[in-house]
Amino acid sequence: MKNRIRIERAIHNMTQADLAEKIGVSRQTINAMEADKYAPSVVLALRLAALFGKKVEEIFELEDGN
Amino acid sequence: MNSKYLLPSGFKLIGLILLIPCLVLGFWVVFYDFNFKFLTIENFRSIENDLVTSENFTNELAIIGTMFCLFCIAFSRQKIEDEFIFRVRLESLLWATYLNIFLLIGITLTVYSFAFYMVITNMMFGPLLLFIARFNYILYLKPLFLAGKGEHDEK
Repeated sequence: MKNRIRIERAIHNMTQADLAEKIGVSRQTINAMEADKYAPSVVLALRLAALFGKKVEEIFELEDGN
Repeated sequence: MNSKYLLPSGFKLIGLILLIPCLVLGFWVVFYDFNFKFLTIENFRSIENDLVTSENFTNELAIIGTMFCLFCIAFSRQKIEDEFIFRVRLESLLWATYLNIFLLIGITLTVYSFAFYMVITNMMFGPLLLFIARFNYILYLKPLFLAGKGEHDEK
């Protein structure tokens, strides 16, 4: 699964720590998601999308093999 | 996240602080036969032929103290214990258990007699130590290495 978290974060001018604090997770979690090492739960994906004001599909998308 | 089986996060600091005196005590017991006199219980064990022996509990104190401290460090909640951290925790437990078994097999094949007894005694702490090492490596050290390679814009 690919995601655009880093890009959205840059658009909103947030650091990983800012974003982590806003959605109530640890900074390591943001880091792992951006590095494609961790696929978030549905709840967390929805919370990220809500924060960026977008649909989940605009932030996360499937890759070949998923 | 579902972390009701973890200790409050303050226990990590308690564990870290108490670990030092426990390790020093353990070191003194093993290498200098150190004993607290007040921890001696007379006539604690009676053996079949009416031979009665006393027992000193200093080494028990050192072992249990060290065990308790490592337990506190390993299983206290992170300040933010979210879903990713909980997954790292479970993966690290599995990883530590596997590695401990392979280490025990290796030790069984290569270490003998009194040395075997000494090593196995210390391997009591194996799973906890391996878990603490792996869990903290993934959460704190690995992101630093990745940031060093320029893969992450760490701020």
